[in-house]
Amino acid sequence: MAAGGGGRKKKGKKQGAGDTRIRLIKYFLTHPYMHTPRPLKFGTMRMLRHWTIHRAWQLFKRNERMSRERELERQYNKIREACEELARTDGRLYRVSLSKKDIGTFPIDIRIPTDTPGARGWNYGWTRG
Amino acid sequence: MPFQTYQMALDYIKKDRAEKLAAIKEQQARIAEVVKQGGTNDRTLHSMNEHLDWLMVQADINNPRVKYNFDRGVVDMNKPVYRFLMDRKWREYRRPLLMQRLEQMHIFPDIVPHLDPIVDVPVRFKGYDVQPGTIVHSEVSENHPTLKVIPFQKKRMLCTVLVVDPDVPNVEKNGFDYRLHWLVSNIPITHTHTQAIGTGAKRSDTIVPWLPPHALKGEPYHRLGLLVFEQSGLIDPKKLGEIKRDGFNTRSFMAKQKMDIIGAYMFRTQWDSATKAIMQKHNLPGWDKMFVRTKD
Repeated sequence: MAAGGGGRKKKGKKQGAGDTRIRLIKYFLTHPYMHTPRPLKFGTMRMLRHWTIHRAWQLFKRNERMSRERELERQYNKIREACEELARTDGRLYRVSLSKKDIGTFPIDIRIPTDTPGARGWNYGWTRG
Repeated sequence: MPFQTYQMALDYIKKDRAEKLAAIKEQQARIAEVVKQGGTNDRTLHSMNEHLDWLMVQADINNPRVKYNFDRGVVDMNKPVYRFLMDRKWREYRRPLLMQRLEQMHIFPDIVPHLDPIVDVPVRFKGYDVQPGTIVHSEVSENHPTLKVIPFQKKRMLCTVLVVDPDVPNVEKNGFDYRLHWLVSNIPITHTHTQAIGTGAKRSDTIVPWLPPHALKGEPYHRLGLLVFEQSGLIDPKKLGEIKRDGFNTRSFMAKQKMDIIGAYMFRTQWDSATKAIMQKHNLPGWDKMFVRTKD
């Protein structure tokens, strides 16, 4: 018994059943890296700089959003004007443009709608065949 | 140069501020045009002015210097952005607390039909801040409190302060009466000069002097409502005539003098160790009476 105790000290950490594994489990239970980052504590000046950068970024995002919304509103108004112009010009074509008859799926070669016009422009020579 | 992102942020905010200043000038010109042409809808002018106020706040609200000053309490009420920040801070905590006390204690509709405070009214008894709704000891409330009236808009006005006790017992009618404890009028208040009564306050007219709040022995607590009104003009104390304390009707007084209610506060009082002495000192009847619960 006494010899075993003395021998344990000399050999160092015992690699017995469950020891390393329990140690590792306990370590990873108490150090959840990436899942709960340490809460940062900022001093006054650091916090102020963070606040300023946050405000500027929010302002930037707001300006982007407003310009995008304004552009969409302009496009919508142009579409509406065009439809009204068509109504004034040709009644039959206007009704055809608004009809929901024969609308099912999209043709396979339709151009996907984008924010900006395409590089190719309008293909006046397109035929169904 | 250190703090590169911070410097970039500052530049962006500066650019935005320049844009806002240009927008302010444009809006001011537009308002002047509209006013010059006359015959306008009040609503148009009101919304234009509101937009102008919004622009003036937005010009400075991203300024870190303004935030630093405000966090330290260094506030210049002449500037719209500080008025906005003070208003927002009041509405975050102190106003909801006040409204909770006023609603739970039924100050309205008992004394006035509606209450929508737009000014901050910090009240101090004997120099100490008292939270609305606390039961104030008789000795502490023997003398009138000092109070400020803090408006969050650029205005100069004359205010009236009124303290009413709605819980005066009336045994004959088996109900309660109102009693007026204090009435002070013609208090000049601006957004920079906010002390209504106390050190540094300007001259005002005490129409009805302070009566110490007292609740009789055996009674539960009395509620006391302190109301702040905005006067439409100067009130002449001589023209008011005799104002009776007992049975004072706040609603009719408000209507007759054409006053708008802008702020409120409340506290409570009950029979404690000093009430008897104070009632004897001020010759208030009832110090020798005691209310006992009757069993029918």
